[in-house]
Amino acid sequence: MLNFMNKFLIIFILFFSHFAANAQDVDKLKSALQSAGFEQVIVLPVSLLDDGRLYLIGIEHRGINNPAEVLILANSISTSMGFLHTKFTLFYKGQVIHQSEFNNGTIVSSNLSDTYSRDFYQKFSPRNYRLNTFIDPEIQIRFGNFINPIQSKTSLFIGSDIVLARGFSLFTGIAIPIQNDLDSESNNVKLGSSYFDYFTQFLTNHYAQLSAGMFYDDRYGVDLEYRYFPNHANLSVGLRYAKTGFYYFPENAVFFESKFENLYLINFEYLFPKDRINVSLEFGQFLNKDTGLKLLFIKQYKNIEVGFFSTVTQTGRTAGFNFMVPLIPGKIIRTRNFEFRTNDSFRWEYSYSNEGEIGRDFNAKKSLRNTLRRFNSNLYNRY
Amino acid sequence: MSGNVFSQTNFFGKPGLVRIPKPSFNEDRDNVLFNFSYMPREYSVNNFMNRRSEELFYSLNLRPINWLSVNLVITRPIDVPRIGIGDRHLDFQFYVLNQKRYGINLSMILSPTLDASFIDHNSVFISREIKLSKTLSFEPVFGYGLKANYRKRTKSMRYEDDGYQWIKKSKFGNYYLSGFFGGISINAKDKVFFSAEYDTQYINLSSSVTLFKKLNLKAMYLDFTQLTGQVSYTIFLDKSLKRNVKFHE
Repeated sequence: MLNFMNKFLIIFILFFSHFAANAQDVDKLKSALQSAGFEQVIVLPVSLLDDGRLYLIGIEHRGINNPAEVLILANSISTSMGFLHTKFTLFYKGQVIHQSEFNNGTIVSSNLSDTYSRDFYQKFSPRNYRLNTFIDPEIQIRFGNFINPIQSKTSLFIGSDIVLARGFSLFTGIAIPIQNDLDSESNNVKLGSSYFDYFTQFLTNHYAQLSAGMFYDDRYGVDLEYRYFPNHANLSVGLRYAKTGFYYFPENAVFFESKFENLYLINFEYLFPKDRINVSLEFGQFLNKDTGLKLLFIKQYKNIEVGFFSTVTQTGRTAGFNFMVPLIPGKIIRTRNFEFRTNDSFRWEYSYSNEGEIGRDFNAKKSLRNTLRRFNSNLYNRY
Repeated sequence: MSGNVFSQTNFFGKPGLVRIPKPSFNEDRDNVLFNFSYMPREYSVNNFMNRRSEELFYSLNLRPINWLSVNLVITRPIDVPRIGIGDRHLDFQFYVLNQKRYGINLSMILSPTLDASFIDHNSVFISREIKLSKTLSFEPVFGYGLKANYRKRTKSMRYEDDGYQWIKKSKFGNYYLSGFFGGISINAKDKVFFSAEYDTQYINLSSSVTLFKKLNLKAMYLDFTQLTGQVSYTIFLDKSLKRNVKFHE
């Protein structure tokens, strides 16, 4: 009996010390991930396997625009720290996108069960985010004026997407004008685009984004976007409705035009995973009551997107290209609660025609479509 | 993935010799090439509305799919006033056949009808690379370019708009790739290149060298009389950013 008690005690102590060591390791892992730029790091120990414990790890990284690279980085950190059985859940503003695990070097993704989502959401806290500030140049160029062929307007946006609650954020910042021979906007430092934004996956594979405020491209109002974006399919479908007006900053003032305009667009996008090319067809009513359609081909490179488009509307025809690149040098300052970096996804578009505004939309930088595109898990092993 | 090799380009920044294109490419396709070149007045290519001038070419070449590359070219004629940004040109090169499977390379260049550019050209051309040793190869290229373009007449021709039609390129001062052309390209170690060609107007020579796998400097000798140059720079798009990979402080 005594013998048995002894054995039991030893096992108990062993088990307890094992558990304590694990808790310490989890803290170490968390801080390693955090110092690599991850935010909202949540570790859920799940089941005890033969050779260790399985951990579900929730992560978000706002400095890397490719989720596959986010996963690879997280995985290499956790395996180097001895966490051999892990499944990673990617968050966007704390909302679950999907779960991925590494199987012999390939990434396998699936939807996360509601139970685990709830576990993650219980541990979610806005305080798990840094004040993640980024610097983003805004460059508008109008080509083709005979006397001054390159008219441009450049300013620097310094701001942050401040997560206030799960999925809910305030995007705000200041815009510092650098140079302007394009329009008559004042040269004072002014409020950059600032709006409230709510992002959610309200049903599995169904996403929505609601925004209200002052957006990019001089529009203010409300913007609603819905997207059906299945985790494993190549086709996704989106709807967008926005009611916006024009705003700009004359000297020491802000001017809001009271006339509102509707924008409604339907979008089909199909991914050819082997070539990493998205073909997107968008039609409906753009700004300026301009109805028509826009065909877009997007090639997805590791951290870069290059797109070619062609637009036909009532107003006319145009074509052009756009791209998304991460800016150099990336992280500038990173502490526990603060980060200052360059934009991980700077977007710019060139349109052939600059007469009239053909097929124009706004706030494309932050659209649900552009956010989700990179999360297609069929791409993860194709880079 | 396969070594990031630079392939030889013509003055447009497309795979090619001096001025003519070629239908073969290096295996990599995850790169974008920026190119800058200069053409002296006597050998101008764009001839913007029949106005000869020294010309600067800024171009960009991207191959998003194995069988297609996209070329954007801006021509800035130096002496032509009131031209704005310059002549903006777009074309596509379709890599129809490749040597690995079919024994020869065959490509087509198509310029979509945009009524915008004066260097629109449509052509088809073949080549075959012959290896002399592990590091040395030569590649004869032969092709034909259409002498007319399907487009509208320009306002400066003082015609009414009478729709799209086949119009001789020479009417716009466009003599680029009109008729049969051909040449030979020599490749040493994917680093040093020599070319000799007939571009439907002149016989040209060139030699170029690639530095740091990214930068290519090229000297061209046009018509055995004029020397000119070209600089291209390649960016590989599928490389991981260092900052996304390393994590140890």
